[in-house]
Amino acid sequence: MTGQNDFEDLLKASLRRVEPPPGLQARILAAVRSRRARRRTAWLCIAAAVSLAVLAASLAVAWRRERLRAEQAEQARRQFEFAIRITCERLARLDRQLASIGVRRIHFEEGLP
Amino acid sequence: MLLFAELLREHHSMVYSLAYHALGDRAAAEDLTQEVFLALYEHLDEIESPAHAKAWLLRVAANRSIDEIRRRGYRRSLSLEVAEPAHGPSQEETVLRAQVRAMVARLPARARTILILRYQEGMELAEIAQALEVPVQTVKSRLHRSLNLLRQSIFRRAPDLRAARRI
Repeated sequence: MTGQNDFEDLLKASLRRVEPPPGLQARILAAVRSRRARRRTAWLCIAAAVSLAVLAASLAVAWRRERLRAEQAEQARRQFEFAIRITCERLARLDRQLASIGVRRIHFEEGLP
Repeated sequence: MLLFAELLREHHSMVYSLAYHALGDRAAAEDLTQEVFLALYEHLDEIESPAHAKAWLLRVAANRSIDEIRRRGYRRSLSLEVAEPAHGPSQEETVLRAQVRAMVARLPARARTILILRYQEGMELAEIAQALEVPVQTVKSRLHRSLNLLRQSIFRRAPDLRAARRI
């Protein structure tokens, strides 16, 4: 056997595989399971947070739409009241003008054609 | 999970041993082994075959060992304890092996890892180069330099043992 081979044999013997401590495999499997469980919990939390966000956004959109509709209705009511008021004022003015030139009021009786 | 458990059973000794020889610390070797297998679990869908898994584990374990040695910034000087078999070597041989391990533990991170891959796992230079992602010539020159350094150290520390073994 040459010196080189002897030296390499010595290195192989010195650096041969060392047995891991008992229980290492089980600890690693437990760590993997724990990480998987943590990840699943994290995903559930994310899913719950996203669902809540979607729900909140939907409620906000619905509330905003309802408020807009109510505002439009209120605006329409105010416009209608304004139009009625103008019409009443015009009719009253016309009535006064007609009265001033002697036109009698026309009375419609019910039942006339 | 079944595939992972199988890979763990088959290769945890290889990864632990590599980390132990590189770091010289049982607790650190256990932590590193756990980290490497957790990383494997994360990349399990990328593993194409058992051979690929072994190469992947060696590459990751070797590189993480190098990173850990550099992060700690230390060179282990203690002789690493390795339980010898009941009908194992003589006392003299056991001492020599412990000295060799201590000398290996003082080598720079990459040179140390190259020696471990070569003599623990019996890997070819090309395989080591692939695992460490360096040119084969780099592996060859570092291995050559490390072996010369070890030979000189052994001669300096234990000339009688050197003579006895014709190293």
